[in-house]
Amino acid sequence: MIILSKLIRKGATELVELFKSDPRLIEEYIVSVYEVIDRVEDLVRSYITLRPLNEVLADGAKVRETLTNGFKGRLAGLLVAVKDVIVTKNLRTTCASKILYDFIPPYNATVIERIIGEGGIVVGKTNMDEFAMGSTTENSAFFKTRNPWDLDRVPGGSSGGSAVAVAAYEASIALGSDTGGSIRVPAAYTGIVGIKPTYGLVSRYGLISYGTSLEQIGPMARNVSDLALLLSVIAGYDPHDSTSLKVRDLNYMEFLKPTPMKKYRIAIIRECVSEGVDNTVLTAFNRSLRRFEEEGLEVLEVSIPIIKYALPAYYIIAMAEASSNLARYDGIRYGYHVSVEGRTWDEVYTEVRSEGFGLEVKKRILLGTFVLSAGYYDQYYLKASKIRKLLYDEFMKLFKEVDVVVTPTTPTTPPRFGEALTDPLKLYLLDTYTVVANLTGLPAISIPSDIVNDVPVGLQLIGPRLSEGYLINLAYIHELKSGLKDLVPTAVSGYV
Amino acid sequence: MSNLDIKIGLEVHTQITSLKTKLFCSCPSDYRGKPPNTNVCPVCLGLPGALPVVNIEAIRAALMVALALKCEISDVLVFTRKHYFYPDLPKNYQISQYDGPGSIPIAKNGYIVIGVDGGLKKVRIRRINIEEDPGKIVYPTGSLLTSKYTLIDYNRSGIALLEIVSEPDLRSPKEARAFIDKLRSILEHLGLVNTELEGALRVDANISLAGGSRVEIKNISSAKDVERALTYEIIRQSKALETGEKVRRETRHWDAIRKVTVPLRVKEFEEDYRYFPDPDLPPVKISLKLIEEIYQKLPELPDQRIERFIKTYGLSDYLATVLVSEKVLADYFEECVKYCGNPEIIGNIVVNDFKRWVDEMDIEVSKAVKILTPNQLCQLVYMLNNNIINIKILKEIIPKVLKYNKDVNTIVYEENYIDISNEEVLMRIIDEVIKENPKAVKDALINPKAVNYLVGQVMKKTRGRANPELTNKLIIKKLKELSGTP
Amino acid sequence: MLKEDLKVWLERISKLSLIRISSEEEEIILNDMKKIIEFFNTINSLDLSNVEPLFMVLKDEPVVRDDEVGESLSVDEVLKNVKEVEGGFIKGPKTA
Ligand SMILES: [Mg+2]
Ligand SMILES: [Zn+2]
Repeated sequence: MIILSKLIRKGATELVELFKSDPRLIEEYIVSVYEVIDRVEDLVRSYITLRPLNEVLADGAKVRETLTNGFKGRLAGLLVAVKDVIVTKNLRTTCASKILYDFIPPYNATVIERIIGEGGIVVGKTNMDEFAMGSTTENSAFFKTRNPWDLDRVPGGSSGGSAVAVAAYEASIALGSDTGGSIRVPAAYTGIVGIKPTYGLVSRYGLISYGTSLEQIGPMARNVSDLALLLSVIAGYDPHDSTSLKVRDLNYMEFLKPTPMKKYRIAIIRECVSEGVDNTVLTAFNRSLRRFEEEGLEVLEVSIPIIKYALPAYYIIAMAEASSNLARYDGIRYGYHVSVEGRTWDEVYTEVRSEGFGLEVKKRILLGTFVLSAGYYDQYYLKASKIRKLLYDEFMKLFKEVDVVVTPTTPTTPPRFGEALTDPLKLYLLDTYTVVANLTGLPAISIPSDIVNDVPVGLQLIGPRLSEGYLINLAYIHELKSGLKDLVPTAVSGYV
Repeated sequence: MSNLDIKIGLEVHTQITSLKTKLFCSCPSDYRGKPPNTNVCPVCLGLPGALPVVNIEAIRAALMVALALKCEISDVLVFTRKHYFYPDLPKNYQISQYDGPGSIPIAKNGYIVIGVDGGLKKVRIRRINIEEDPGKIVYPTGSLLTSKYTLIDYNRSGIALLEIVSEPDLRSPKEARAFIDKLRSILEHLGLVNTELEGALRVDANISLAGGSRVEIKNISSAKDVERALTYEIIRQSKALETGEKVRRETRHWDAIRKVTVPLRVKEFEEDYRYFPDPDLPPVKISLKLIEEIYQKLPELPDQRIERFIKTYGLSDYLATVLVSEKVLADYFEECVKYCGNPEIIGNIVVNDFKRWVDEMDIEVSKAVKILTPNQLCQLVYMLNNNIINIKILKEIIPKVLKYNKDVNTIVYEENYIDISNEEVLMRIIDEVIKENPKAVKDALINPKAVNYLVGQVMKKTRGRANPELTNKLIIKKLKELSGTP
Repeated sequence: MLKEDLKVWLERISKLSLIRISSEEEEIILNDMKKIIEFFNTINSLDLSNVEPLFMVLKDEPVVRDDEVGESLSVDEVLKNVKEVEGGFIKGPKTA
């Protein structure tokens, strides 16, 4: 066994400080991350596109030089894994779909510009469910990503590649996207932290749309400090996104305090801890609650009956928006193409779309088309949007009384391959607790709650609008008390 | 065929050419004449991940039009996605507006007053939409029907359009034309649209005859062609109805070259645009304050200007209306008057001569006013008022100036157009004419009206240069001499 | 609650979305679709006639743009991903 550099186990926040005092360490760091990738990538398969080491080293050398000249980039020298749903200039972006298998974007997403601006280095593009449609990363058009805690289990999804890249030490931090739980579910399943920010806090410019009104880009990291660091960089106003909030200069590092920054009142929702929850999950959940109570925080129980309609409402809205967002894939301007001469547009488009999209994507486009179609719009799309309103009002009301809502991130521990896919509803159920935050636009973080039978279990904290700082504060306290940070999954423990 | 049997509604698409950039991205709105696909960005090319951000000036422009057309204005701007697949549409949906749950057009329920057969008519406006223009398809064979593939240029994609939809209040092709002319003039007066730019104004026309179905004619590019296409459709449909054939509810394409309408491919399923509020573009509040601010800044509109022309310049209703039907024409008129007065003479010349020739020669008015400049036109008026030329000559000079792009003076002297007012010269010619037309002279001696013939002969001999009043006077004098009366 | 036969429904929807379902896929899809539509139908038990819909959660005024020209893409960038190009145009299918 090769002894890897000590840098590999270090967190992003710590590394940045080290690089500032000794910029030459960046090279050692990059090489050692690539050594890990060499060892674990065959097992877990996080990356769809990994940049060649020499290119990344060249980028590292540039960052080193700027650091030497006094550059103070907040991510200087860090390797960042990016979900392949976020466009990267001149770096292939596929959305894990055959229909975009060779797409080379001519522009960067705003979050990528910001990361590069702070000295971060994109290491590669990570695997996901095709067009972010899925909760297991089994729906990639290319290959499945495995959970490093148990290679027979799914890593969760759709940001499974990013979660695994971080959990398996193939990158220091990562970007995911979350439409209905796509950051939080894989974070929970792989023992890392991930946050779905308040809608509008992080620019969506360059995020390939699935459910426009629901989704946000968010950071994924092995500990709360690293998450706060990356969130501080990507959050804030962007004139290229009409839904961007006019907030600037955010620094979430200020919330990394070992004690509660206010007397948080914590609510648990009765409907989320009764039916359909695994006992192991519930046990972990209760242990986490106790940690908060030990800090002197009040925990109370509330009931939100409408929540049981959140899941169908979520899927109706997400699919409706998806059917519209995915109309543009017709093979003419980019992506999977068939020859056009002598054939009409509907023939050509139908062939491209039928061959280019995978089954789950097709299903969602068809259903989304259906719920928007004449005669069904009121019954499905409009009605779902009304449920959304009721849910929104309930949460606004609730947050006048409490500061944070906690739920298990998922009702169960990670399924084994194929388990969730046999029945579409089983797959959708994985998102039961996470979709609420997307429908209401509220921030929600998933943190490790416990490790049960060698598999991590996640805890979700939902807060009011723009309460990311407080969520981070609570997550940090929980992390200190539980010691659940920088976890090393079983499958990679021999390598890092 | 009674006009009452015809119902016509128009859907006018006009680009807001006064904007510097497109509707949802910062690409230049000036796309004309650029090489294909050189005026696009990730947004207007519909690249994955790109997002629209609305141009605030486009909203202001739409509000100006809404106020000018006396519409009810929505208190919120909502964009809606309209879904259909077509190669010129990069996202395969158009960001537009709609009247439905969660959606509302920026303005509704307005009207335009048009002149019809000497009277006035109110044509109702159903709604005004802001929407994006698609790209442009070029057919390699020149024809949609015979091309085996298409060539797409997205330079136009995303240009800000206003869709102005009328109620089916129009009763004839002539009324339809009057509607478009009036609307065009309003848009020009608002300073929003240069309607002379190719493709800046496009019209879809709906027409139904009693007993028939609604037929839509797509993409007509001028007011003249709207009149032509509708006339063609009326003939086609009434013939069909006479022979008992069914007029199908369908969409037809106006072939501007062959001057016919042709049916477009029939779709298997009915259109289902699946409108829903665009989640990329949350509603923008339209405050009363903004509307008031725009209202205060509204420039003079055609109806007000017509009134002013009648009052200030003493023009007839007719002259004022024709002048104001095109903003450049009205501006030209006023500039000339500013330069040399004579509003009535100038009004007549601009409408009856200048405008007539410009139409006939198919020159753009904006180009023509740079050839026969106000200075030039005023020189002609000066020569007329000082009997250097006569009105007949003036009418001859105008097309020549326009055709040869020559200075007025040069033409007058080169063509030797100077009025013959010299009595000696005229008498010599009159003597010749009298000698050559003994019969006419006899007639004229009995019937004073026959004098005109002799005047005409003198004009012919002088190629119109003889001063007609003087000629008339001299002939009468000569005839009196001949008849012997003192 | 479909107003038509599931197969007829699928044909209509697949024409609208330009997605063809192969005969091998059809059975799975129809089966899944039925389940999902039933799942969607659970919301029909609610009477929501007096509820306003919520389409977007943004509370702030959206971002708008001044009318200022910015950068466009170079023609190389535009055509980089295009498979069929002719004289700078993007080659597309027939429209008739
Ligand atoms: Mg339109
Ligand atoms: Zn653009």
